[in-house]
Amino acid sequence: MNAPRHIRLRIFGWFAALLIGAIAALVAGLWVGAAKGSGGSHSLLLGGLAAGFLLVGLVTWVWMSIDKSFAQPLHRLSAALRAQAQSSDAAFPVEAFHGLGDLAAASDTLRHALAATRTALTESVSAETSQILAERASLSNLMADLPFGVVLCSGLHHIALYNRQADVLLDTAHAPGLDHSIFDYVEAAPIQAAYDRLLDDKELHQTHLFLTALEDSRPLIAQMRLVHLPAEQDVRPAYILTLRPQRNIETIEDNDALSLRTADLLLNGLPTTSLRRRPPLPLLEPEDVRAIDLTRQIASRFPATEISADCVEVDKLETIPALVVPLACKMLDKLHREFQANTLSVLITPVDDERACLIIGWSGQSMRPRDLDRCLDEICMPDPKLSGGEILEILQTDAWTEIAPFGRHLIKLPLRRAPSERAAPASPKRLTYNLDLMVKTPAPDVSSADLTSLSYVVFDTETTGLEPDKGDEICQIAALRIVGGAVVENEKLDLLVNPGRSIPASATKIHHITNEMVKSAPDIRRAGSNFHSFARGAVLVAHNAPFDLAFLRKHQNDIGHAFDNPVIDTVLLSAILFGQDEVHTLDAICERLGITIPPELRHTAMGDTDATAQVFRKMMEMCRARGLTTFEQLRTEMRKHGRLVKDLNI
Amino acid sequence: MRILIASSHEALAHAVGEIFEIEGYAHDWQKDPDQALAFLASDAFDVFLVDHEIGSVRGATLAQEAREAHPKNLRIVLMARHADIGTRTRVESTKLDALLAKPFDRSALLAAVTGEAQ
Repeated sequence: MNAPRHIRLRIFGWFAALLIGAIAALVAGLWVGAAKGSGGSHSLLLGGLAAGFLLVGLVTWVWMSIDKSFAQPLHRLSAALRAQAQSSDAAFPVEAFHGLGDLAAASDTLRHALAATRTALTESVSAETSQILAERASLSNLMADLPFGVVLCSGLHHIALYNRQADVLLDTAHAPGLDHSIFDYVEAAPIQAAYDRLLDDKELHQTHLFLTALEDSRPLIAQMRLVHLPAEQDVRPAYILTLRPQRNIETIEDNDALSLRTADLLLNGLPTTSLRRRPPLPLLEPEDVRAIDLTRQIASRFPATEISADCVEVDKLETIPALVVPLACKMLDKLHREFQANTLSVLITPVDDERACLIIGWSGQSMRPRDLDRCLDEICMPDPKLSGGEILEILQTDAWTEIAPFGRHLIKLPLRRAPSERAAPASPKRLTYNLDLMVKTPAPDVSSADLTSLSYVVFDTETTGLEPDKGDEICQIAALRIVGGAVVENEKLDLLVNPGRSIPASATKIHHITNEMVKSAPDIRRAGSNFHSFARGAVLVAHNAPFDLAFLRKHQNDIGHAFDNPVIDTVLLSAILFGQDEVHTLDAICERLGITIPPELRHTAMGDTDATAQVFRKMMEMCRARGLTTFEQLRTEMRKHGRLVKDLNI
Repeated sequence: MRILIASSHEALAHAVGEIFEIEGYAHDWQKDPDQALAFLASDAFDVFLVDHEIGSVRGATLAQEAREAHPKNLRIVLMARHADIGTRTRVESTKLDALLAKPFDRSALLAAVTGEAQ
């Protein structure tokens, strides 16, 4: 209890010292004036100057003492208390507030009381909600496993939920993501038309069946139903879309007659009565096998051919659809028997990022395009019973003949490349949702948007060095999405990148990425494009963002997209919240906020991304508590600390 | 411009034909693949618009045969059920001029046929 008296005594002491010092300075000044001056105004001026210098020194000393003993500890204490409001694990160094006397001890007591209450509350909530969570997990699993795609969209046509089938269906050019527009994946006009019709419809719970297409033109049969929100929600109704690839369900035999939107059928919806059933193709899982299996099967069946020697390119492809293997073997059989083909060769070669091509070559009798069509129809697989043409339909591809130089003939069969190098989710996607997105209202622009309504992509890169201008390159990119304030567990990107140069041993020592690991990784053009797609429409968040962005922006032309998203730097957030003079390394901020990064994950792109996301979420809450609620307000604050990070586009 | 439509679907051929009529393009329709090839050989067409299903032959096969017979001065457009990688690669590889994936609208049809954005 002596501490408050002690503080009061110290303050009294400083001001008493200031008073005594001022008097002493005046006396000393007068004495100096009298002793050194020659009398009159000159002595007075000299005395005044000497006293003034002494007074300036004295006041400065008092100010510095107050700043050191009170202002700085107070600032640290308020930041630490804000951090405590976010997490009981946040650092609370009592010794750093010693100048504040009992205030530090009182705050520490309050902190412990808060932690105890928080623990009790967490345990209580956990006990009460465990059953609800278990039920929700079961429902999520059920919905995730539905055999057709389910997408829930807001009235703004932004995705609020999608299941695993929808994820597989929609993953064409971009991997699906929460808060992305459904029109990024599916043709817009039929959806808009169906939505408008349902809105106009007086009958509730009406569904609408229509034909639409994916971004790569594959057709989908879609069914839409509005989700009627409570009347007080002043937003356009959300809707549920169920999606099926056309080949897997009732096929529209006279699809061609219905194919023109000009005929007004598509835009106004396809009446169910016009769907006529034909036996559907078997619903086959898109199973892949190792491409080398094709080589082995062919080599064992045709030992005398040149096949195995020509199959070297196969290895580069890693996997191919399993159905290709028996189809290729049957076609080789037919060529051998019916077309007296000799010197057979088989090649699987990449065409571009998306496509590869199986090329069967031979010398001997030629095969006209129609002969191949006939052969494909004659080929019959026993289990499941499929013709060659049906296999091509299932694989959504085609095959044709061509004439090659030197009397060679070719059959070409394009294949979709396995998406092994695309944005692979860190864990198998099940149900991904954020139902708050259903009632999200649009902001006119990012600046005026509420910070909680924005989507963020937190990212980090690992590089070969620190100087992008001197040839250093990215060798790993990791990113995750934060939507509605929560990390979307199913939407993460973790890509090794071939830097096109060797990784110095000094860099490998830090991030443990070796030249061997990135040998077959995509280059920055592909990886950067994936990342750009992943981050579209989001605010980018990084720790020392200009560093990572410099590496990406120098390849913008090759990637074909500009990284012009709004940016938040966690270094600047830390400066806003903890003061510019504090240490703003990721480790220091994590320690301050009670965030633990497992040592094995530190300096891995995903480990640092995860840590950055955690500090970002906590600091955003602290910013809100300080009244920073819009992006513009935050940007204004960040600009004040802009000198800490160069070249940030804020 | 003279256009030959090859399709075994009467409704599709009529709908497409009506659009050509409005645009002032002369057009003919054949539903037999061999007759379509014979027509191409006997008369001067500027555009050959082939449906993916025409009689017993795949539209892409007919289009490829037409290209082999007419390497130049004939624009060949394939109307396909969908632009999967196989069809897209075949169109490129066999030097067809355009792929028109269904469903398509008037402007996409005219763009494919004329080779100009509408």
